[in-house]
Amino acid sequence: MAVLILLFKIYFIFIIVLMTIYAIRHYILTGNRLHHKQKIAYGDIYDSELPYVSILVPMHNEEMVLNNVLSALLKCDYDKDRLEIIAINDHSSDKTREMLDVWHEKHSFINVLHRLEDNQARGKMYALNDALEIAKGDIIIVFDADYTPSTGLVRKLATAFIDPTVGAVIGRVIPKNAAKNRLTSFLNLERIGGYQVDMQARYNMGLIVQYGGTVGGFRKKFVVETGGFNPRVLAEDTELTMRLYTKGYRVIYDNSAECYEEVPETWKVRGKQIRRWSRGHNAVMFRYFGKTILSKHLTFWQKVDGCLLLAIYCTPFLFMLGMGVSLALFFLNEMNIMTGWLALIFIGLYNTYGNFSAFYEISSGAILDGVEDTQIALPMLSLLFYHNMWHISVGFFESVLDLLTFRKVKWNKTDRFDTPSKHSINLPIDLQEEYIEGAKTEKEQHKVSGGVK
Amino acid sequence: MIWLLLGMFLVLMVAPFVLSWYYTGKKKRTILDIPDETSDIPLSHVLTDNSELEHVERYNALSAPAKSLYENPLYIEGKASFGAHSRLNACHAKKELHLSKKCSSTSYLIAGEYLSIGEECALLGRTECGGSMALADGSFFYDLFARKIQFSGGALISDSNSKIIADLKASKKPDEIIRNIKCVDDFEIIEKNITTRHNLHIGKNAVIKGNILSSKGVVLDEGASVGGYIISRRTLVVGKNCKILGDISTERDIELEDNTTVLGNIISQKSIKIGHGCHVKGNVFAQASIEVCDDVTVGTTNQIKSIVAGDTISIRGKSTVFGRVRANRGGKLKTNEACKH
Repeated sequence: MAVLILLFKIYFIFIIVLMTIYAIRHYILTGNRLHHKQKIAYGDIYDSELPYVSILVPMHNEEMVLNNVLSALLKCDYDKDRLEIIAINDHSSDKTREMLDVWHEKHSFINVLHRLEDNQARGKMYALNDALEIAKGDIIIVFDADYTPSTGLVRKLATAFIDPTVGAVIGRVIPKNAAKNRLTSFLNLERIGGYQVDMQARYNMGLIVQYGGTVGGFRKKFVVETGGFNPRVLAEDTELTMRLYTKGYRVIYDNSAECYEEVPETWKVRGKQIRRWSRGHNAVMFRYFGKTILSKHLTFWQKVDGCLLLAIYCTPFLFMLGMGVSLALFFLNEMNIMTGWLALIFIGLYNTYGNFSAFYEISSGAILDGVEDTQIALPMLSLLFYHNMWHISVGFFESVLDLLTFRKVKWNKTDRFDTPSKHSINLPIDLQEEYIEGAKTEKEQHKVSGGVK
Repeated sequence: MIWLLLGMFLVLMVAPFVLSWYYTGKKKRTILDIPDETSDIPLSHVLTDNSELEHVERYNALSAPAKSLYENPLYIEGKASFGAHSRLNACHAKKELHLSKKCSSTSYLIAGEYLSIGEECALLGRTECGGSMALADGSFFYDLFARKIQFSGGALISDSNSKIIADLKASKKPDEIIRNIKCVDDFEIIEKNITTRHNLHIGKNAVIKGNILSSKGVVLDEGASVGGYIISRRTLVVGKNCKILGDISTERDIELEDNTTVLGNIISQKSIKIGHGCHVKGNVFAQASIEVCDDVTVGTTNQIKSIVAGDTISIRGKSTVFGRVRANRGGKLKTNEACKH
């Protein structure tokens, strides 16, 4: 029993130190974003000799949203002679296939890769690997099907590759359905803190900028030469980030390269999404924690930031465990490690500053974005915090099981909520009417049942 | 003791609110808050068309006297000229636009064919031209974009197609790597790539046919040539009359001495200094400041390139840029100040 209590005490102190480090990290990043010189990205450069770019859009049952992304990509100001779009139909069972074929007939630079054979493995990583084999571009830019890129986005992202040290680039994601309900407004705040403050500050400080898997680009040669995307890792973006940094490349963040996404509108879908992120991210942590510490290409602070970044999806589980341990110690009357004036001052300081560090970061992001009104949802963000904590912990367990059992991981696509629009005039009218009506009915049914299709 | 702790607690509790109140009231304009109005100009349409905007005063042609004041944006079908000390909000002239000395504009200035800016003008918005743009001494600007931008009459465009460059272009890119060397002797020819953890010193007229990758600084002596790119973590100094075919990228400062030719892009996470008579065919990008000396050319007549600085750009004499010049904290043309070496 005495050994167990000792272990509990050690763990309790470890959790306190870990949480304090993360809280300090929030303050450092926010302080840098607010009060230090901001690095610029390469998007301001105009160059008439930009590289050949292949845009990959992986799709699985995306009839509700695919017109939005393809219409937006048609409007981009990139030289169409140096651009190809590869829409990847990954075993869709809805009208995605027919709709993509119509797009291809109308626009020669929109190519379609149909992955329909039953024996073909499914999932984003497999789809991307197949598309990389046929992509002609030196630079690959990836968009998810529910994204709506702005006109100058592709040019801004592609320009970053004039620097030979840049391995990948990432733009900013803004939820387009932020005002839909409470959950989407919480997720909007989360994105504001994550991109406007966290990512920009890490870019300013030369730390690890995370390639996000969408609204971003990478060098095809690097990915192909290092074996493509690992199908056993659900977070191919984090894996690529760490692969690039540990091989001496950099990732650039362009805060002005904005793209609009659809965030989950129900808690169930959000839970599924963050569980997948957690499972994939933790799988990357198991593979890259040691490599990050030992890498010759990273500076000391990059290693520290890399480790904190890798551990970010196992921290909620450790924190939950820490709460359990503190309760156990309290009821065993063994909380004497937190006594004395120093402990009192520390608790006071942590309650004053530590607990609010993430809120401070988000709030600062909202002020920088000029959307101060959104801060009204900040106090309720703790709901999202507890919801995330549970699903991230489940994702952590799944990743541990993946590691121990060598089982195959399956990509669970996030369900879409977007209303199909007619602004793709390129589709035959009958097909448009049919799919719009079909999708609307389906959406109504989904609303009535209150669940997910 | 209790009172001391209570006092500390009160200070700690109140401090965030006081700081928050202070900084919210004094919100600084950080670089990224500056609206990026020019970011979406397609290259095929060099000019932005503001003719349909409201509150635009329209003229067929305009010749404004000295000290004119125009509070509304102007749209001129033909040629426009403004006398000394004129103050404009914005102006779009379909043909020519001339500003005499000490004029200022707070928003955009656009000319279809030719744009001339007199001495000590202040261009606070974006300035675009479909043809040539000429700036006189003392001009202050943020964002210039034209097929050809000439500072103080423009540089004499040098011919960068020398024999060495032609030979290096023709030679095959090497695959082999030499590791961890500290120097290359004068006149030595290396047909390999170089990867080193040391400061690298390349001697006079040495030729490196491959790429150079250094974890520390690199110094190229006069007349050295490199067939590939140079990446260094520390300061890079390129001596006089050097020729570099690839890109240059460093995490510190870059200094190009006189008459150097770079066919690729120059990228620095700090500052860049470009010496007299240099020719850069690629883009020039620095997170901090860029200093451009006399007779410098950036880009070529058939390629649009850019000079972009996170801080300031100082242009010290006759220079020509084909494309864009953008300084987030402003750029200035000062011919009376010599370049510091």
